[in-house]
Amino acid sequence: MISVEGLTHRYPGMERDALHAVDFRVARGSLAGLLGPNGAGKSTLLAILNGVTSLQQGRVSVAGRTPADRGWLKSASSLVPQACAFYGTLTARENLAFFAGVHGVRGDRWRDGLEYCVEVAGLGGVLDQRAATLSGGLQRRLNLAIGLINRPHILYLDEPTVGVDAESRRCITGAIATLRRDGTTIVYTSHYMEEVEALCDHLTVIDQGRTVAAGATDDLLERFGGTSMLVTLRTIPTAALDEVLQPWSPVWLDARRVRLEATDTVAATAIMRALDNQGVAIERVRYGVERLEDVYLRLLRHGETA
Amino acid sequence: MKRLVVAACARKEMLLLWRDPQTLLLLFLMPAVFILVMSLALQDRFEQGGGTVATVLVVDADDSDSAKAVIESLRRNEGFEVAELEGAVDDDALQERIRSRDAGFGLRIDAGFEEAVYADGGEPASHVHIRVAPKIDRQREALLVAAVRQGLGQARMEALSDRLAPLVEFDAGGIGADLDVAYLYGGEREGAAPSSVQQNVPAWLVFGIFFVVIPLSNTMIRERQSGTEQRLRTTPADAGAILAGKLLPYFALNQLQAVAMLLVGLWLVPALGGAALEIAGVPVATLLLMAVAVSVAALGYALLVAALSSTTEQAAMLGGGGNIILAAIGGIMVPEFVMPPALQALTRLSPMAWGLDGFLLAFLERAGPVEVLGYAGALIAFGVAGVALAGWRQGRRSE
Repeated sequence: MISVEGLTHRYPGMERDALHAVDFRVARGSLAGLLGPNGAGKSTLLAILNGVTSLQQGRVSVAGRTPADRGWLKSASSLVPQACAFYGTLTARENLAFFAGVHGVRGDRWRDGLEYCVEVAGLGGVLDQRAATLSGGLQRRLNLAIGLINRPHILYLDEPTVGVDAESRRCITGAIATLRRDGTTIVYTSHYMEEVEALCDHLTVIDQGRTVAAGATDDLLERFGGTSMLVTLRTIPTAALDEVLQPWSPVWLDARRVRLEATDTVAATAIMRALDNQGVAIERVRYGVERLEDVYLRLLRHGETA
Repeated sequence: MKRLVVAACARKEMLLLWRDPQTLLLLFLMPAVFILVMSLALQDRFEQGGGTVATVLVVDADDSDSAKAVIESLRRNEGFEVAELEGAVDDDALQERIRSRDAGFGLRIDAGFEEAVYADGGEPASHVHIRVAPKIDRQREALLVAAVRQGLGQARMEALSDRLAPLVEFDAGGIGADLDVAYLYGGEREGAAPSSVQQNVPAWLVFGIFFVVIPLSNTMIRERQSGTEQRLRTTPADAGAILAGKLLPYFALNQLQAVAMLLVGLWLVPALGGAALEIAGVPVATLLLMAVAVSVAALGYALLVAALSSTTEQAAMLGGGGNIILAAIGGIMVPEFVMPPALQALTRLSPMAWGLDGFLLAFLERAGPVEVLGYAGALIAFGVAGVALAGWRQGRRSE
């Protein structure tokens, strides 16, 4: 769906490239994570993919179209920026109507789009409230909903969950999962590694405008994995299990997945025995899988390449 | 598609404006208050230049032909309005009447005036007394004294003529005939410098229109700061259509401002005791052309301010401060015709002066659209230049 090869871009007056020979691929209908520290070049890459910034060097193809086809690129895709980019004194409905208008969406398409956005982003009941009066989480959801009003084939999400409460975070990640099920291709940037790890099936890490690592999420975690053991349980365990697992520094990724430190096979065996003693049914065990956050930091620190 | 984008942007901009009542109030109230205060406060000053009158309360205790001749001579002077007081009015009573009727002068002609006029070696001037209100300046006072002296001279001339009539045939008529006077400001038409309301209505109307620079530039800067501008650039909407949709409501607002300020001059100023703005015979097309041209200039200036400013505070300083400077040098705050020549030359630099001059031509000379085309063209060129510079600056910022 999206193919980027050797993409290089330099802003006027700057001494180094914002992007240098970047490769980036996203399959149709997949959810690709784009990771990197602030200033790594993520926004520049999104701007080029979106047709806002001109291509200087390299090859870019989005659904077989080149960046020269700006009109199509802009119609087929949508960018949800990191900032809440809407008008606070307008209601949620008025904001959606305005952005529908600039996308040329009207009539039945507008009514269907509104219904879809409200459902996916969970905005029912607040449509006629002024945007500035909504809670931070609802504002984030409105920000996402505006990005969906033109029913894009490709959605670029720039840190969509930054600064939101747990309920809105769950709503937004749920919406992203729904969009993916509906066949939308999603490029996702975030600094929340657990979120990226849980959502994305493909990752690209860039730093200082260069690709540091790229590949399927599981592959990357295993490739750079160390001593972690990832256990997926069949059922949600009791709180007592966490006590039992304390010697191995448990980190719960969600209700049924726990990451444990197993420095050697003796520790791994002890973990399995402890789980068995608690009568916990195990669905899957993976060893040598690193936490994404650790992998990410190690990649940035050492500039390792995939 | 373009029409849909323009409509969506225009609707959004109207909603934003509608939900900012303080700004709307400022855009209408500020110029209206200036028109009212300045028109009323400067009425007397403008009357001196504008040929309007000061009231003279006259007490004729002599009740003679000679006294009537003096009063008639004064009555013929367009600079004064004569009001004769009936009955016995002494000096104290005359002064009281001047104060209570807000008159400029009192003129008392004592009994025995005509006798003194005809007497050999008589001093009729000693029978004439002038009282001057505090508000009257020296020039106006000198004018009245000269006018009374003229009347006295005429009375003495007639007395002399009566005595010489049997000896010499001489017609002393024609002394009071009108001289040929032409006004530089009005050519051959109405012929007058602007009155207070004629100056202040277009001046503050132009000033008010230029004040859209603050809400418009603030909206654009807030869009940039919130990321909405970037978001709009990711949509397929044409940038020209987005800009048109943004500017249309402000353009309409400017036209409403112009109509409202004309109404203030027509009805509100006279209702509060000032002279009404006279628009009979003023071509509507000229007013419309000037209102459109001033609006184009103001919108171009607003876009430039938005492009040059990074924060709303900067825009308020640059836009608001710039407006005040343009008004100060443009003859808005101080009329151009009272400025010294060097400052008058400086007014040419201000687009507000171009707008004001165009409107003044319409009000004072009933100029048609073609006659103000130079001013309108300069204003539109200023607006277009502002848009072009703003576009260039915005392009540099986006790179």
